[in-house]
Amino acid sequence: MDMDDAIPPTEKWVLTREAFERLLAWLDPDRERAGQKYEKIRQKLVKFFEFHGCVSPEECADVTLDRVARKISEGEEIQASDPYLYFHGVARNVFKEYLRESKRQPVGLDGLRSASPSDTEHSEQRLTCLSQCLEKLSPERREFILRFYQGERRAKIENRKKLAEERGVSLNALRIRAHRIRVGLEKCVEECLKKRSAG
Amino acid sequence: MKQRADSEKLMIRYLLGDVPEDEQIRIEERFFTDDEYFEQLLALEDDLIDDYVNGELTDREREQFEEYFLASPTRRQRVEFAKTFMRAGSLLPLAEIAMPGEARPEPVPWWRNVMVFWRAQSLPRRFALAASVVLALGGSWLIVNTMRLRNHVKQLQAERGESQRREQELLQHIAGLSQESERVTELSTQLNRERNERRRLGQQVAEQRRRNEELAQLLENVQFAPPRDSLAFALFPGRTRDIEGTNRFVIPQDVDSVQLRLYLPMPRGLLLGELAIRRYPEDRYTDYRAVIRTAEGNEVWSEDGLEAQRTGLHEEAIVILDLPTRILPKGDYIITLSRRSASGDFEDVGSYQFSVVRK
Repeated sequence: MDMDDAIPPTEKWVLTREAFERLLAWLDPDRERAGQKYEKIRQKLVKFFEFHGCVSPEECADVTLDRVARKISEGEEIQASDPYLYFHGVARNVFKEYLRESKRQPVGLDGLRSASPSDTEHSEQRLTCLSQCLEKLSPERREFILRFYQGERRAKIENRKKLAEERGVSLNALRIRAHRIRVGLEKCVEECLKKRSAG
Repeated sequence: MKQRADSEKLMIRYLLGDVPEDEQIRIEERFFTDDEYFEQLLALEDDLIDDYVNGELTDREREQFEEYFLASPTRRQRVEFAKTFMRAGSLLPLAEIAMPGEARPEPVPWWRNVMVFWRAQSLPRRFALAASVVLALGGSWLIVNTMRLRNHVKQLQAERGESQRREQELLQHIAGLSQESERVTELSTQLNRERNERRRLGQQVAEQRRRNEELAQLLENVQFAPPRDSLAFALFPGRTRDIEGTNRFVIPQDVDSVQLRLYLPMPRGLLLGELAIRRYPEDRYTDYRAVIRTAEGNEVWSEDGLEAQRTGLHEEAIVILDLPTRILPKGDYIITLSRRSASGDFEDVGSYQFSVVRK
């Protein structure tokens, strides 16, 4: 993979339908599977930029996707053993460019506290939204997520072991399931907060 | 920090920005190509956030978390969510996760408050509270259960009374049925007895009829033993026979007299079978008149003051006419038998037909 010829993010390029179709075709000949792969890659890219402290990881992920789509639409032959690894390489370049341009540095706890006054102001609204979102879950999922987070320290660990034994799954699988429900709750709460602030 | 596998510790260090670049690339390449590894990393991220919110990170981890992890606004948002989630789930006392300057939370559902209250208590106090709750619940349960049992006993008593009443009714009904059954049996026996009696009487009547027929036949055919120079013939009322019939009497030329025995008709309603026990009425044995006419109506002989007499096994009533043969030439005759009534007039009793053939 040649990551040195990365296109500067300042250069204007808009993803066309044709370029997007070519990107999908490159990911998988089957369009449905290609779409699933595209979503999975985007999710991983977002987390990649989030892990690296990008202010807007979704925007960085889209820049990465656009850049790969542009290379493919321009007929550049991509030599990669795995498209996922190619995306990772491009993402690292995009992140370097991001660091260079923003010269952004990680913020400390003071920065967090001063940077999040709106969060503290809306903490009660957040709690109300969470209560509503929990009620939207199915009884089984709600019970699961509440039980998963029950207890403290050692008690919590034992509780999760017991929960895993009851369901006949590994602790890792249990955590992954809890994460999925939690992500859904997070999205639900954010949407709820947006509606409240808009209203 | 919890006890974790080495792979998980490495992932935690990655999330805290505490791994060299080559290790970082290796981890990233893996989560890009391995979905399960990626999800495990995300789950560990949740744990890391929770541990931070719960104050379970080491000092070094907490510093790295605040300096590196919280640099991302998205992650800060997730930490806020975790705090809210912990509050909602009452997994931590509110004071521990409240950020400086945060207002007190608005009222939350009762069960959350109960959980928060519970967790705020010391262990001995928890025991004391638990014991109180158990006692209160136990007492309430006993009261409710006692009331329920009392109601149940009342219900059972009422059901028992009803059951006894129904049992009495059934017994009475059964007794009534038994009496009815006995009566039916008695009636059935009586009916059978009457049937047998009727059958016996029927057989007796049939036998009597047969015997009467035999007797009649015998009487019809018999020629009483005549005196030395006479013949005797039996005649029955109403029997009209032609000249070739049984009532044709052959009278030889050398016989001077004949005896005609006129059987009186039985009174109406008198059964043949009763003859043996019900004889011809006693007041009807006197004052008979017999008139003999030819078929053309010419009177050839008559006599009054005749009497009936009993004859035969069953003592039938007969009127005997002794006639000279000279008044009975060959021809057809009719005998009219009448009897004087209480008013003095003669009433017909019967008519008898016969023919005479002379040899």
